[in-house]
Amino acid sequence: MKKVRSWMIGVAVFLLFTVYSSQFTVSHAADATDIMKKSQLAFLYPGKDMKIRVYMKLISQDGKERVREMTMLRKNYQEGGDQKYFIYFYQPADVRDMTFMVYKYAAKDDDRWIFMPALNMVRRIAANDKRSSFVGSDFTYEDVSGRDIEDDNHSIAKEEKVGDRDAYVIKSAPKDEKGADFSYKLSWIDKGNFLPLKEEYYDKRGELYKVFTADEIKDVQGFPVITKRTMKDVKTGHRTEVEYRKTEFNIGLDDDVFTERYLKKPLKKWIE
Amino acid sequence: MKSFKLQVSSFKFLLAPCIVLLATCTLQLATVFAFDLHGFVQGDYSYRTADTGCSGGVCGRYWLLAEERFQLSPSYEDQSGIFAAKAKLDLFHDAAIKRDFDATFREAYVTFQGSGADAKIGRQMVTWGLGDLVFINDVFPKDWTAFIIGRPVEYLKKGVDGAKFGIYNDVLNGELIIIPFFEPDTIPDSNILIYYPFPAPAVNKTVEPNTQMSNTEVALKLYRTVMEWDSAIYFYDGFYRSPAAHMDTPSSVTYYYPRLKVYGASTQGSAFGGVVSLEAGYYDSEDKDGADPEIENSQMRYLIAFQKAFAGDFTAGVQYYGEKMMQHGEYVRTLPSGLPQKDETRELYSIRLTQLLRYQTIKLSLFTFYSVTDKDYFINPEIRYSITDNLWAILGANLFDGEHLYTFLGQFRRDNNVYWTMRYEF
Repeated sequence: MKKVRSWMIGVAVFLLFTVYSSQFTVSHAADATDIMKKSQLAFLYPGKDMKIRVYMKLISQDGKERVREMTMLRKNYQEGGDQKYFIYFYQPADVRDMTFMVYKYAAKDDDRWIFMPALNMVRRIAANDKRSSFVGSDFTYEDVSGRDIEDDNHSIAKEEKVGDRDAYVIKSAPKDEKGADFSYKLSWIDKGNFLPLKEEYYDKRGELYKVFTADEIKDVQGFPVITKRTMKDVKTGHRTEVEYRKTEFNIGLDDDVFTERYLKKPLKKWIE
Repeated sequence: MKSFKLQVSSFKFLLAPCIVLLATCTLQLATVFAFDLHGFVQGDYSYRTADTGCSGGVCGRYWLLAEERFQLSPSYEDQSGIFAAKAKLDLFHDAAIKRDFDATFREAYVTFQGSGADAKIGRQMVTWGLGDLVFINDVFPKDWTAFIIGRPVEYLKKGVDGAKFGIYNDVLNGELIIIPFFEPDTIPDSNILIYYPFPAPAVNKTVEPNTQMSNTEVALKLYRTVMEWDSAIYFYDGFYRSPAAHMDTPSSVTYYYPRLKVYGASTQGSAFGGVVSLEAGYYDSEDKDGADPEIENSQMRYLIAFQKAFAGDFTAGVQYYGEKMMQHGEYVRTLPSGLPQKDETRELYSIRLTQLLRYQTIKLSLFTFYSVTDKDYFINPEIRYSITDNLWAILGANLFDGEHLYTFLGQFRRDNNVYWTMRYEF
């Protein structure tokens, strides 16, 4: 009897293991993609809309600082998909009162507009360069508004702690090599709130060139928000530190905020 | 731009302290009355590199611009955001033209914002249309001297003294501009620049349209998004801003500004991995049959442009612009002998390349015009460096040349220049 029982247990364990491991291999990629999707939602889509006062410091290797200060308004139109962004600049002085608007689409190039106050002119600008620097910082447009999850193959490389937080380490490699500057990227995704705690970007030679770190996470109206973050170019030593000085969710942004009229003259209440 | 002259020539040494005092006082007022105060201090220099090939007067002038400029820009917005006011006062002195210190309001206006409408009254910049340094539905005044000698591009535009009324809704947006006070283009200054015809005829007088009801200019723009394309139609009823010349004697003229109506349209959207722009306008001249050689014939103007961004902060734009003269036959028939004959169609290609480097602190740009019909060109290379967040400098060159002395771009060949601007903004 004992023999039979242990035999049955052996079979059950084997079956369970086989089923589990086969499921695991099949769903491994799906899990990783799913984690990245959840991460993008937590990182870029909390709330219906958002208003943040962004203070950005561009710091060169020798410690020279430049400052970009702006209010960013964002409205979600589709979970994980279409969004609209509106940015008003306070400084530096040569871009004061300049505004910038992006219609971000899930499946095609974004639409972008810029308003130049000295000429009182709104212009549509080409937006097919998501890898260009955002306002001269170490962040690219893609870093700011998100990279399409479907553009990369994702897999769970390992699981480890970042500080006291448990995290998945996801390896993402672009499906089209020409479609990205990195050959692969590692993201440490918090198992609890799915925010990226750290990202490492590796170039085509497999060398680390860019590191993102979440330096401070706060709860804002029930949403976990990275209120301080850094992107560092490890090759040049240049880095950009971003601080959210004021963050508000669900403020009731109307659709018409994202129009030419308010690009030219933003309402005081949205940029205060 | 109408400017008032400060009678301070004999007290020049007091100007700098006065400016500091003015700035300090305004800053104090700003703190007390809660308005914003910004502005800049700028040095702007342009040197003729071309050989003038003549002597005396304008021929001996090599410094085209040697100017220090101080701009003070106070602005105020009330708590509700309904009422706002803003001004830009420029104080400047140009050693190249040896004039006194001058002051001018580049802008001075008040705005009222409602939920679906707004109004802006006073001197203001208006920029319409999609052209890159070509203007179809931008019928508002420009300063061509500023452009040719290489001032910062914002100085190509001049303000209008008038009122803008805007209405905005989901169906259609509209901007109506009423301009009671006519402001001409600043045509290339013959005291500084050499161009066709040279020597420039003496101007006996310039007759501007009077400020009266029937001379009030009206400009209307209606716009909305059509299938994700930013589309607009335009109408303008006013005057040519470049003067027509009536020959009083073979060497002297009277300038005046004939009536003009413009009907136009434009659209801009994403296509072919970039941005495509299309614009057209019909310039309806008062010389309907084209038989008056003093007045421009009616014209059809049109452009198509494409802009694309590339990885590594590089952007490229190409543009085709055409200008077709109506009643060309009549123009040829009535053209006084000895004057160069214009083609029926003038075609202009342009390329703009922009490269940003070093965290966008360095901007290299190259703009070129080439006209296949006039066989002339314009090349403008420029480098801009942001030394700090508040201080930038620009070094550039304006190079014109062509097969003939009298064509649109080629006529400025003797004004080729290098320019340098440095601005501290606060």
